[in-house]
Amino acid sequence: MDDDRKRVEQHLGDLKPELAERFVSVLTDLQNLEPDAISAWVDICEQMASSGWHTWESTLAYIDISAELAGQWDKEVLLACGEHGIKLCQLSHEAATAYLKGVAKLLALGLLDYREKWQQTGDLVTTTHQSTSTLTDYFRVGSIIAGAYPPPEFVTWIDLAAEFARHELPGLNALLAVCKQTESRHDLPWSYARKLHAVGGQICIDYLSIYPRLSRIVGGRLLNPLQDLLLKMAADEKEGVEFLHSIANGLGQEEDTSERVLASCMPLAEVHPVLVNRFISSLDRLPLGSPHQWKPWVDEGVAVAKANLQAGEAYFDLESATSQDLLNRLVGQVNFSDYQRLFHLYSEGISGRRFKIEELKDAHGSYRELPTSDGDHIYLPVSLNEYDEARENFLLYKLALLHQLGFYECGTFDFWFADSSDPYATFFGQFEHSDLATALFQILEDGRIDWYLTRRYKGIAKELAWLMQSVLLQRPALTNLRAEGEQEISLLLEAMLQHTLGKREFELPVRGTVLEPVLDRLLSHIAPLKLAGASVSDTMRAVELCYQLLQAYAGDDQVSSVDPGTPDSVRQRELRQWMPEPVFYRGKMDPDQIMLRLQLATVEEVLDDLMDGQQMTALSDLIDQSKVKIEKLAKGDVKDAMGMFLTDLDKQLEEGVIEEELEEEVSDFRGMMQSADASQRAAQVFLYDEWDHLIRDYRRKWCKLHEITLDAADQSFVADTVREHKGILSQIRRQLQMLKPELQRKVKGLLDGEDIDLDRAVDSIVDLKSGHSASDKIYVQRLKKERDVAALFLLDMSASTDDRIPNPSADAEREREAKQADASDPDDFLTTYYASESLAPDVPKRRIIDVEKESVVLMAEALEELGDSYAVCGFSGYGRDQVDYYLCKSFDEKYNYDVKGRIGAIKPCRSTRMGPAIRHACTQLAGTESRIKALIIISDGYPQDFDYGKDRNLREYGIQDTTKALSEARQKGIQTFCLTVDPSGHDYLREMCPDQQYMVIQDINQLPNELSKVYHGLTS
Amino acid sequence: MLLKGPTGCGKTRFVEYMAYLLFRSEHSDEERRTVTSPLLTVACHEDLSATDLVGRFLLQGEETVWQDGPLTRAVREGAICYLDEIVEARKDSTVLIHSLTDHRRILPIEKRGTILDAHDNFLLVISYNPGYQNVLKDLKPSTRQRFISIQFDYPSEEEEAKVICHESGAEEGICADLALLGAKIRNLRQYGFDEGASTRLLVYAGQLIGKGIDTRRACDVAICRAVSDDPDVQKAIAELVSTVFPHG
Repeated sequence: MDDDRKRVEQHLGDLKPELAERFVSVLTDLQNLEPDAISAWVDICEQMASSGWHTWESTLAYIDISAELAGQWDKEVLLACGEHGIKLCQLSHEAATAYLKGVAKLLALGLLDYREKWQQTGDLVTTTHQSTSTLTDYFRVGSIIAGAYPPPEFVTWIDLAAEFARHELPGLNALLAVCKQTESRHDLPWSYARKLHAVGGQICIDYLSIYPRLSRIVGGRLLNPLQDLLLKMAADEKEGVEFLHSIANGLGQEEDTSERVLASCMPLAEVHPVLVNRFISSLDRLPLGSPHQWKPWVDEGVAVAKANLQAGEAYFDLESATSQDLLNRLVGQVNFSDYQRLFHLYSEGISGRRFKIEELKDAHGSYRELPTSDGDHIYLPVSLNEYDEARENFLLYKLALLHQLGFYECGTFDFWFADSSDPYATFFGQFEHSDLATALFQILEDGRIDWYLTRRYKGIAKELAWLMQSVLLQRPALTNLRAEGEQEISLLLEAMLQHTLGKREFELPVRGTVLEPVLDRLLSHIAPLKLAGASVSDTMRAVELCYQLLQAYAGDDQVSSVDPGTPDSVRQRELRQWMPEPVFYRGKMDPDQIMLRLQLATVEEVLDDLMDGQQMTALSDLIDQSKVKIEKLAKGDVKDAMGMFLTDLDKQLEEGVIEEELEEEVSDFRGMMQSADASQRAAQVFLYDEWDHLIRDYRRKWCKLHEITLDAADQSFVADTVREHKGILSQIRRQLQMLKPELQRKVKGLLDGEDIDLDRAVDSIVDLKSGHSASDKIYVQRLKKERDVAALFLLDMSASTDDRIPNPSADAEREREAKQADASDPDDFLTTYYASESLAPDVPKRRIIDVEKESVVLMAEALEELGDSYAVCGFSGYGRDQVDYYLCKSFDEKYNYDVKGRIGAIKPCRSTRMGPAIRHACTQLAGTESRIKALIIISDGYPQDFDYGKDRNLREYGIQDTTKALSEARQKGIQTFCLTVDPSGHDYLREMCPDQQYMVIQDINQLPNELSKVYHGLTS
Repeated sequence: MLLKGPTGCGKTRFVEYMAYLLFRSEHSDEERRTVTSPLLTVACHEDLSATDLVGRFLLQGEETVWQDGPLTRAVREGAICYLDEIVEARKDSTVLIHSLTDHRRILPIEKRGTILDAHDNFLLVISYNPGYQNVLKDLKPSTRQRFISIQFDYPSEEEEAKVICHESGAEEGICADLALLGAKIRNLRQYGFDEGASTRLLVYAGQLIGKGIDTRRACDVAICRAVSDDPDVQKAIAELVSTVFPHG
């Protein structure tokens, strides 16, 4: 027996000397055990040590825990651990070492009862995956978890690991990795993770890995609802993970709001997890502050989604019309775009000027742009939802607009000072603190305008008072302001501003009571501005008086006077010191800039007159009378070209240049200005809704349509076409001539008329004589008949129109026979003409687009004689943001050189997104005042675009949208007709158009002829 | 005489007053007083032909009877014939008046083959509205240059207020505001209604208000709906109304 031990000791010593030492010392500690047990233990040590490479480490770990195991537990446990260790050693010494060290940890923690469970999961890992590194990790992490969590949590963790182990290996590895990463945390929710794992493995890992961050962002109260929601979300792994990541970035708002958001998510998740993500991505566009506004919106959305999931997605993405409309209604939001025309008309009505009313472009972020004006534009915010009710928000728009118009009406820009070209800057420049004077001016002038408006427009007096009252409530209380040093000025300015908003009683802060007499005097200076007939010079007088009073408080020791050479940005900052927080509806303005624009407008007017044949002297008069300050106009901040021109002009006038030369130059310049305008026009953009049949709703402002005026590039096309197809042209003409009404038509048998119809009069008398009752209808009248037609030809310019026309040989054969049979039939002439041409071997085949163009050219030539008003447009594009609409001829344009060039320039482009093009064409048609409006669409295939519907291979979306666009057209009283050369056109045109309103042309060469017939049918 | 001016600015009213002064006032002579209908107004329309003005044969019982047209009556009796919106009428009717309006002062009645000399007291007044009809329907210079022309337009705001006050009997303050509103709406002329709100419309609105109808309601029915069919323009006018008149 001892020999055995000696041998083992020797063996261990060979492997590692310290191992032998530990063996001997522990062996003495184990002397209390039965000899059998001791020899079993010795055996285990030997076996373990010799079971593989580096297994001495495991053996050392085993020997280290043996004494304690034997002391605290019975020999079975000691031997069982050893045997398990040997088993593991055969796999990997690392796993065995990790296991045995783990046992030591459990022993130290008094958790050895859980050893077997822990060990079993390890076995599971071994048997399912055969990965020793994972196994090692498992034992190592297990011992960490055992130390960090209370025993029941440890058990849950083992169960969780077992569940992962039963599935894919990467899952388990990920779990272990997460556990290692979050080693310092001791609160990962294992039991919840088990529940989550039951739904989805990946989401469970993701959840655990972001948990530390999440629990920091989301307060403890929210964690439970969040976890409940996540369980639902996990049903769809992709959506669940997305959700997890979006909430990890923070719900952002206060806890109350987040709680409500989470509560609202629950019913959404029950319908489908995707809705929750769509909802969360729209959160920043919802008025989360007031749940009564968005809660009904969510409820409605749930109802929509229950009926149709895709509609629900669009709804919560804030893309569908229902969604946007409801939300706008709920928050009382008023959108500028809905009222742009109204504002435009209103401002023109009030002012008699043609302002362009535009929206402020960069209205995002916390800083809000103020309404403003620049002489020919007035800028208003994109949308307003300051107040709960739409009516109030609209009123805010109206009053903001009226205030801007007030400046023009009250003569703010009629101010002249010291014969200066920028009178305001010059005026303010006289003051030592010009920024204080400017601040005073802005307050007082705003006040004057509002008093004027109240007096002049009794209808808005009450509303303006209401608005002022509500603005006053948001102003800082004077008692809260500091009344020291230069703050005194700010305090007084704020008091004056509040006075212009209708405040009468002022409570000054304790330390500021000395200011009371000053304030009284200031207000007495303002008083004259309230009177009828107060003008801008009264404002200026008041500014002077108030400035003198305030100057004492703006001594040099307190405020550094602004050096005139200071850059504008610095001046701005200085100004902000004085200026109280601006009042939103009063906006802001730069009077000098506006006056400059107004002068510019005068010059342009004069130039216009010049071109209309007026004398050149008008301009020099204008300049001589110094109404227009050339040097100022020439400043770069206006239009560069204009400035340059005027500087030259000024010089030339001084030098006395000959009038004719000057005129020539003016003419060139006008041309330049006009072409600049034209290029601006080229970029006109329109937004159109699109019908999504899947959600049975419109997608709001979905398509961006660019109206482009084509360059008149190809002048020869029209001439060539006319020359080539003289025969067809005369035929079409003849056909259309039949439409031409006789100028006057005699109508017989009327009760009243200019002459007696003798035949009927005789009949009548005969009747009378023979005792019958005679007819009274014996008069004739000549009646005039006029055609009142507007037609728009809309050409498909999609890439497929580039295709050559297939040789319809079979058809051609047949037609040739027909031609021989009846060559005199005019209808067949065309087809046979083309057919014979296409048969000729050396003639290049024509493309579909060429035939489309030819047809339109022939129609245009013929229509010119008929006198109907018509337009020619083409469309193409790529994607919903780039629908191109090419204008070749508008209704009121003459069929001139340019138009012909533009028709010639039509060429195949990209996709066929028909809906928006039809909608735009209808808008144009609706703008004409003709009685009969016809829209004729010529295409070569079904509507398609790469994002026309989610699946580009599904035609249904495009067809449905086009159908809807066509029915919208009919509602507007526009007759539509679709001509297509796609042989399969019957299939979808039958769906898109009512009967008799489409035609599929088998042989494209018939197009010109068919077109004229269609036109005949539509407009007669 | 040729009266030019937009609709509802008082052209007809002016002719009426003229007729009153000439034929019915204390200054008018005996001969004129006996004229039964001193003012014969014809509203011209697209199908108004020479026959309508001169007269025609009618079948009465078993015989044809000649019936004078309004122009013939006025020429015969020495009254005022007022052809409203003359450019609307057909060309044959405008040419008809040429011989009446120069030194000849005769009216040929083609259908009866007679020529009628105009009564000394006969006056011809035509009106037309240069701004509003289309370019095709302009008055020919040969027609135009036979008349003394008076240009009418809407009065200034103050004057108009007085007119509304006199014609409608509404309060002065209201009338001033109506005149203000009228001026504002006229700023919108080019949007489908070239004429703006006429003084006549304002008078109507004033009358409604005078009868106790709410101001905004009165303006809505008498002005907004009347001047335009474009809903946007109507809305814009409604906003102008609500800017000028307080609620209730």
